[in-house]
Amino acid sequence: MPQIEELPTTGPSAVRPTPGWALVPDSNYIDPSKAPLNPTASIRGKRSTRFENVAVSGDVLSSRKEREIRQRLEHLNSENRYDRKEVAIAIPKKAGDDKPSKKQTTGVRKILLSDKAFKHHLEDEVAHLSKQSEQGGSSTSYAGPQIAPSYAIPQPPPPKKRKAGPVNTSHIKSAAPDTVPPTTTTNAVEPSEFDVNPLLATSIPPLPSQDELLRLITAPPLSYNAARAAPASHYASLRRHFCDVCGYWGDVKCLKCGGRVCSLVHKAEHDSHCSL
Amino acid sequence: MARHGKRHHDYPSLAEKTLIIDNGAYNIKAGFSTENPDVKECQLIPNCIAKSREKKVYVGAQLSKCRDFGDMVFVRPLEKGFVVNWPEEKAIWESAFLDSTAVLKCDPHETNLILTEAPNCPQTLQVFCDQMVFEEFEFASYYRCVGPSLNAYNDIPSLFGDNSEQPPKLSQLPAECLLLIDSGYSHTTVTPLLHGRPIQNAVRRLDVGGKFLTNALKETLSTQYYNVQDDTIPVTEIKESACYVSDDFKRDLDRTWKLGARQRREIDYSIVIDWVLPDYENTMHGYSLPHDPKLPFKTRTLPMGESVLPMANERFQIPELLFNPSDIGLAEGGLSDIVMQSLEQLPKGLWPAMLGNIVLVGGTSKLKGLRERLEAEIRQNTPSDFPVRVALHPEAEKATWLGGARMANNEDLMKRLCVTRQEYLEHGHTLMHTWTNRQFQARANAVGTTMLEG
Repeated sequence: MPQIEELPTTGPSAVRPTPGWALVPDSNYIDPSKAPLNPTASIRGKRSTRFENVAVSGDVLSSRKEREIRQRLEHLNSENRYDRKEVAIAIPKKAGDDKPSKKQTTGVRKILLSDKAFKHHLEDEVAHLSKQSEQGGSSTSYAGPQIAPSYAIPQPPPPKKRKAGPVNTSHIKSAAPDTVPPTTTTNAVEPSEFDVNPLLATSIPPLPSQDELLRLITAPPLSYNAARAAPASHYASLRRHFCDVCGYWGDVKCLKCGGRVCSLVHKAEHDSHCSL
Repeated sequence: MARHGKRHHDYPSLAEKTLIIDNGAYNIKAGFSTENPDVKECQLIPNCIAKSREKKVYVGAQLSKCRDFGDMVFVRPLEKGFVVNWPEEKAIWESAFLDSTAVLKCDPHETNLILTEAPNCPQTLQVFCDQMVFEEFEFASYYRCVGPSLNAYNDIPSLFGDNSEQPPKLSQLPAECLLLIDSGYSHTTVTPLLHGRPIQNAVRRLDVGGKFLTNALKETLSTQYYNVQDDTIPVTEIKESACYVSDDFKRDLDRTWKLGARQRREIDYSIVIDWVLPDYENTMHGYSLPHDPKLPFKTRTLPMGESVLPMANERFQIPELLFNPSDIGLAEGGLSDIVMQSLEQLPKGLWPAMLGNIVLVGGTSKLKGLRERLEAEIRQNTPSDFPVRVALHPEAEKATWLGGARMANNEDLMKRLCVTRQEYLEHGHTLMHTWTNRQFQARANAVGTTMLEG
């Protein structure tokens, strides 16, 4: 199903076409930083009433709010307040630079004239990778988006406070790699008197084999998007809200615009210039 | 085949001088290698072209001549940590390395170059970079690598206070295991290093860096006090000197809350400071004063007419974004989360060595309290069997450069890694110009293999 949407042609968020030639990505890749913050928000259309949504998550962001956040993030990543094109600082010519400069190669001239921004290069990369995965071939120089298998067993979230208890701290210190390089041959730890106790014994996993280490250090790099941090697993519960006026906890939500304030005093201040 | 075998033993000779460029998005860190590398030989060159309100244009190091940073507009050749705009980068490099008056003037034909790039660079940009270095600047030989990896050549044991009486010899470098966190201008990356080689599958990036924090601070100050959107340098100064990472966010936030619904609360004035903005007539830099609660809390001026910003929860709320990017709506894990995400890509057997050797570098990592908070959070997330040690490099900004300068002293290693101009002219154009890029990877892999085996 092709997705049809209206793209803005004016304003700062307008999409500029890639200068020159570009591959157009046709992938289902969703930029996590731009993805809806709340996964349930994307299925809003399928759910008819607002209240159902609220019942699902209790805190569904409206698409307007999403757009606001996206614009804010874009703004926080920008250099100046203006678009790069609008700034346009001419590179000053050096004095005495009139002598004919040495002949540039075609490659260099192409690079200097290239008008692509990082966004365009990233699109090219995504398109290149999706083309590659379609063909099923994997080039050695270019990392596919595949992620290596996760070795570690996911750790359950640790209890709030780990009780230090009877664990001998000096013993933990001795486990610290006190010689560098630390992993020379083994992860051997000095035997401790507590090791006989199954509750207190330290378990240091064995070092991976030479072949495995070799595989780790010779793997090709990941793509730019694959290296991006994933949201924390308990992301939804982490979302905190702050007062728009003073920055304290935003426990009160404006019914009109969804903005947050900390108290009735700041609610009054917010209401005086509420945008809706 | 015979020729192939021969090539592995007769490495080409390199030039005498080696220039190390850590090409950061905010500052270029550059200098020549010496026998005993020292950060004093490293120059900080702003990697930007700036225009002041008097429409005067400054390129790179010329910015130090500027006396008025108000309303300044910047153009940076790097975007997201990668060189994208080569015309600007060319102008900055030329003024820094080729100009007759430049401190680091050199003849590229007689200089080797070690150049850093951010991890996970799109290949097109790598190819562009290689072409510019060899075809435009014509360096004699060149090695391009992921910036964090150079840190393995630093004196890591001394950072943790281990066997300080004998710093590691050249032959003992690179450090065997290192989890490097590089918090720079564009982003923060976690790179586990094994024998100086990055474990690429475990490299993770959080898109929060110095620029993001400065912009967030600008936004907060502009909504609460008055518009500082165009005052990048003064706001950066505030971030660097007044902001800190709180060790207990909830407690500090409570201590700075003024308005209860029913009664006014007394706030903890030890956190609140008054920041005096520079006016660029009498003062060049801002400075902080202890907060004077008698004056009204909103915008005020001192007798001399300087503007004053009272700073309370802004001081720790901005750096908090590094640990909780979700506070602002960014769907990425915080700093300690990405360390865990990176570790989960590694075999459990490497965890103790990685967790015991976490090193922080990059300008943003200098934020007060960041190391302590990170260590505490990682401690909470990992099994207590493994010791956790986090060290901040004392020269956080120049650490990568220093590592590169130390690596350059290992002539044998350099010969095995560098691609010479001769080789480039012979093969560079092959494989759609990706030959150089493939060579860097293949050679570094070969070096990594020998280090692992020997």
